[in-house]
Amino acid sequence: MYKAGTKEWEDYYDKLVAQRKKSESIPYIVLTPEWVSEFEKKIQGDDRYKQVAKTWEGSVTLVFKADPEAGLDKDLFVLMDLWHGECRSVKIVPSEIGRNGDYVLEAEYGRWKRVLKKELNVVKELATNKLKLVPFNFKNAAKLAAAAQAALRLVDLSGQVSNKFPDDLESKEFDSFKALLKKLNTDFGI
Amino acid sequence: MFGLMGKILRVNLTDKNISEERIPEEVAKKFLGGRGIASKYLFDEVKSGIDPLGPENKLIFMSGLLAGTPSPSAGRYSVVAKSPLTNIWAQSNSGGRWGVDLKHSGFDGIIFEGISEKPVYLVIDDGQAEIRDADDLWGKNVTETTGVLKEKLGNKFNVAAIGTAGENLVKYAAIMNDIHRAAGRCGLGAVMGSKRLKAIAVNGTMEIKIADKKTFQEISKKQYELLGENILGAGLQGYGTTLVLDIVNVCGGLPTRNWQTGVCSFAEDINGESLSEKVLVDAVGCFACPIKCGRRTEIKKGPYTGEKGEGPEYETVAIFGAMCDNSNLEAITMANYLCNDYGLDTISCGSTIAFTMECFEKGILKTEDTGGMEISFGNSDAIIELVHRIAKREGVGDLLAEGTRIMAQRLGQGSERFAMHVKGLELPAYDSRAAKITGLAFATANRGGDHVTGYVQGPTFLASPFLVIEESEIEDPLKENPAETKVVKDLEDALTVFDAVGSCKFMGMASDAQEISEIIAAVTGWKFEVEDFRKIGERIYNLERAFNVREGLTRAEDTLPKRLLEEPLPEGPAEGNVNNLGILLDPYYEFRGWDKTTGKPTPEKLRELGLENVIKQIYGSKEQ
Ligand code: SF4
Repeated sequence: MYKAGTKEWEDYYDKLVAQRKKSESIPYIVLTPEWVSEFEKKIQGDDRYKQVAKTWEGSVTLVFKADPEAGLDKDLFVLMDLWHGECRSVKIVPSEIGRNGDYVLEAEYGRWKRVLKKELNVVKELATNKLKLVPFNFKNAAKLAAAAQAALRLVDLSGQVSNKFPDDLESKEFDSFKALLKKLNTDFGI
Repeated sequence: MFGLMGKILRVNLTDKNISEERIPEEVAKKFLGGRGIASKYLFDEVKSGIDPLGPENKLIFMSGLLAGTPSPSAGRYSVVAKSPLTNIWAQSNSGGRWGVDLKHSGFDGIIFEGISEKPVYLVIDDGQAEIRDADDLWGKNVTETTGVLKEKLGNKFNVAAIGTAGENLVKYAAIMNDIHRAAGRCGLGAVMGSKRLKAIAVNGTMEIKIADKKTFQEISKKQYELLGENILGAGLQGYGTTLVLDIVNVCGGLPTRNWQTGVCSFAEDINGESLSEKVLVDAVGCFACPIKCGRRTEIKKGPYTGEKGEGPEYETVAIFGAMCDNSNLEAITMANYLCNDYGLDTISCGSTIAFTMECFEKGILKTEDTGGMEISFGNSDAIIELVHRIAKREGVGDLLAEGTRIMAQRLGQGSERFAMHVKGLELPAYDSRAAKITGLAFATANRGGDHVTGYVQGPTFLASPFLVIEESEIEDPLKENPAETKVVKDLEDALTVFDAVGSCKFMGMASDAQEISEIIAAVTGWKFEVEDFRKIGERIYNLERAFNVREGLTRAEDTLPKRLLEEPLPEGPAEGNVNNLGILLDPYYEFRGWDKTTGKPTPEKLRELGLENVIKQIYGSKEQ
């Protein structure tokens, strides 16, 4: 297993993404490394995001709680490194890295899915702490409140990448998604 | 009675007669308290066509039904009268703790009638009311007046007062309580000044009874917990209402240079973060409010160093800042302190100054008209000087003291186009061209151009739905969607109930109608369900509309300034947009049950709401 936080881990992760972008068909499955990478590109190329997130500082981790029906045997952590309208990177990471994000937002897989599909309003979910800020602290909560438009834009962009969610897959695809998660776990500690 | 004290005080300032009246239970059940009961009295007792600054106008203070109970963020009171600024129904609402202390003194409200020959103030101490001579207070501003009264009467007395702006009948003078909290909008301070009523000092220990304490405590506890981990609550505590400044700006809707654009290039100099860095001392809240969106501040640099006070909040920063093209946060803060002390509504005051700046820019006003002052955009010294002159009605300040609508009528030369008011009330700092539905809310609000009547800025600019109505989503703020006009109607009705019970409207983002109905039921002991909540809001709203109709208001007045209807925003995400209000008015009237030609509530609607007595008043006898 590559050691999380090392250059080696990063290089192999990037290699995996490059390989899968070649082998997998579009639209990518949500929560796969290739989906995450496309999401990163979308954010990086989006002027509206740059504008609405101009004052944002800090990494955000989205924690998808374990949900076997969606193939998640354990929690999955997506870390977004965001700074003043720039998106430095978005990656799936091991829990110990994800938990160190500046803002950790946690919810059931099903709730995230409804947020990303825009069936639920992300700001309302944040405001009512259903996308739970963990640990809750007033200073960070205030910053999130001020970033309402940026949060909305991120949801828009994720929808532009794909709305193909793991729990909607046919059994063959679902099996290979599970196999992928297993590999992420053994190789990358995810 | 539970929740309410069940009594009001009637004070005739002409003959100095004071009497007590019981609030009939059926009136309480139909109108709850605060804005609801006050509007009911105003409609019944004030004839149409009277002079708002004459003896026939009544000035009604009324605390909310929940005020004084430990229900979170629910200690507010309303003041209602006919407005000298708009000439229609007026209501203004304030927090702090004066409304709570009024109830502890034994009364839910006070109705002032007539005009005193000499300046007076009213003292209420545990059920005993007395009119006293205020000769020594006249000419003093709010801080000093409050200080003198506390010294005379004791620190436990809480004071609502006007400053010199109210005495001088500035059309947008405010009534201030707890020194820094304002019942600001619509010029009710001028009504108080016209009656020569300087202040009301209240104190008392009377108990506010709760019918079902156990249930009440359970729900309140839940609400406090909810607010304890609420991101919007945290945002408001962290940055005050200036939290929204960046958000509105990135939507291209922060009115700048008197609404010439919706993008402010120096937003980061005046936003919540900047305010925290430059002037914030700590966060302060109203009675029983865990949110604490108020700001205790001190100016730490420049010519006003050492000045202290509370505020500014979002509207004040946006208006004295972006709207006046002024990036000097210290000057904005100072303008806010001055407005509080003179007793001036910061929204109307700052907007009138921004309008004056554009008149100056366009050569409609020249230095010979302004006593030599260069009233140009961005001139922060001129802003401060103008606030003084407005409050004192000195020089050009006398013209500005009349408000934007009258100014434009007097100045002409096309200035009406960019006089940013609706029905005479200056607009708040959200450009409706960047969120179309907010234009409908401005156009139809009962008190004129206002944002908190139906805070549809929540679901648009802030992208934050209101839980208190069933469906508040606005799909695309830049599109006029007729079906979404129901959101405006529903919000107007729901937030009317908030004013009636004395709840802060921010609670409407966190609490739903079920929870609030349960609280009302627990406090009053009445059977009270969501359906009652909705119906009462609609009833009060229609009664207020009927007051305006009786004053001659028609559909033609439900409109927006020409700038919003005809001049596209020049830049930003809403570039090219104007308000196509025509698309939204008919469906809104339909949801409301109002006649599409006249704008009157139909007799059927009034009957449905139990307002049969109103029909004759606005239709004459033939519709009875
Ligand atoms: S949120 Fe602000 S205005 Fe509302 S009650 Fe609390 S402190 Fe007062």
